[in-house]
Amino acid sequence: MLETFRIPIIRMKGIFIVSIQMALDDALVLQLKEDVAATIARDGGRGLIVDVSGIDIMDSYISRTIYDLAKIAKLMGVPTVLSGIDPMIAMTLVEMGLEMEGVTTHRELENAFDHLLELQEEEDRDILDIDAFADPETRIED
Amino acid sequence: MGSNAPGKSPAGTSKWPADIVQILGRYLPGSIIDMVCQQAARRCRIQVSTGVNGAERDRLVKELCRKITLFLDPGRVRKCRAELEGLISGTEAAPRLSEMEHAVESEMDVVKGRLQTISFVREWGGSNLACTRAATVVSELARNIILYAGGGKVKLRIVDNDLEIVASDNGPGIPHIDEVLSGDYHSNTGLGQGLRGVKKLADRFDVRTGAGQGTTVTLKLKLK
Repeated sequence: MLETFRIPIIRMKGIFIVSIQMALDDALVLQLKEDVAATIARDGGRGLIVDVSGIDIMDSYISRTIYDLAKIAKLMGVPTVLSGIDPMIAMTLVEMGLEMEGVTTHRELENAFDHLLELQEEEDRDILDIDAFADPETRIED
Repeated sequence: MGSNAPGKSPAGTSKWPADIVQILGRYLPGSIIDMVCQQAARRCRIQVSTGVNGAERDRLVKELCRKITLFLDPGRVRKCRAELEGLISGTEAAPRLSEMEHAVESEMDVVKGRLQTISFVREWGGSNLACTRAATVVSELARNIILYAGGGKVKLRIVDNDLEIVASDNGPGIPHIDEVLSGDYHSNTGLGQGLRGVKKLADRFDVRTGAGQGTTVTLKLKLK
């Protein structure tokens, strides 16, 4: 049953949402990494949210998986935000020295989503600014 | 466990405790029994696939008492509820075991192991944090067993109100264990990180390992 199961990647306003609701095994992790990379490559996207509110515990394997996902997305130019870490899990991760440095986190999925939308707007503004300074001749050409 | 339901039980209900199904069967059609039980189990975070233990059964019954109000008129709700509650007080409260052994042979056992750990620790009055810590440790050690030794076992024991966890295998042993634990050694599989994390969580921690003698990790965690 597990072999055929996939973690869905939902797209909303250009942001991908991956909600992990079950125990991760090797096959599932590999599939998820491939799916995330392939989806970003195919559809672009402006952000990735990994929601872990459904995870019962996080050991080094699971936390590394999520860290890897964030790094893969970052390499492909997509910022990643983690949401929904259970307080007990957060305490345990810190005690174990497994905090995921460099990964932005938010308590709720909603905040994570807003955060990424804001990032997107900022980026859009920057692009507009660049357009304004662009060389007029090259602009006529395209 | 209580008495088994006489005759055939409604389709799809075989995974639920027979005495619960038997009572519900007098009030609800079979298709609804399965659905109600599933919802209740999900609500109580009970994994049915790993079997329903004593404490989980009580929680399930309590949740069912709430759920049935959706399907029955008030008079029948009261009757059905009384019968269900009879199950809780009537259970010859399964003596809580102070020891538990869990075989680790496949990845599924890693997940099962931590679910069993959570219910074991909870049964012994462990705090939520203690449950999470213990389950994390078991998950970590069980995964190492699968990855590096192919198989082994994890034992949980209550000693002086603390939780003792012993993970053992007959695998090839951990080379350079001292470097692994001091953080000087980084495997590309991440073994070191997990084991060091476990050591940090533990009150007492001991590893015996060597080629030909397998690996045994013994540690203690506080329950509160």
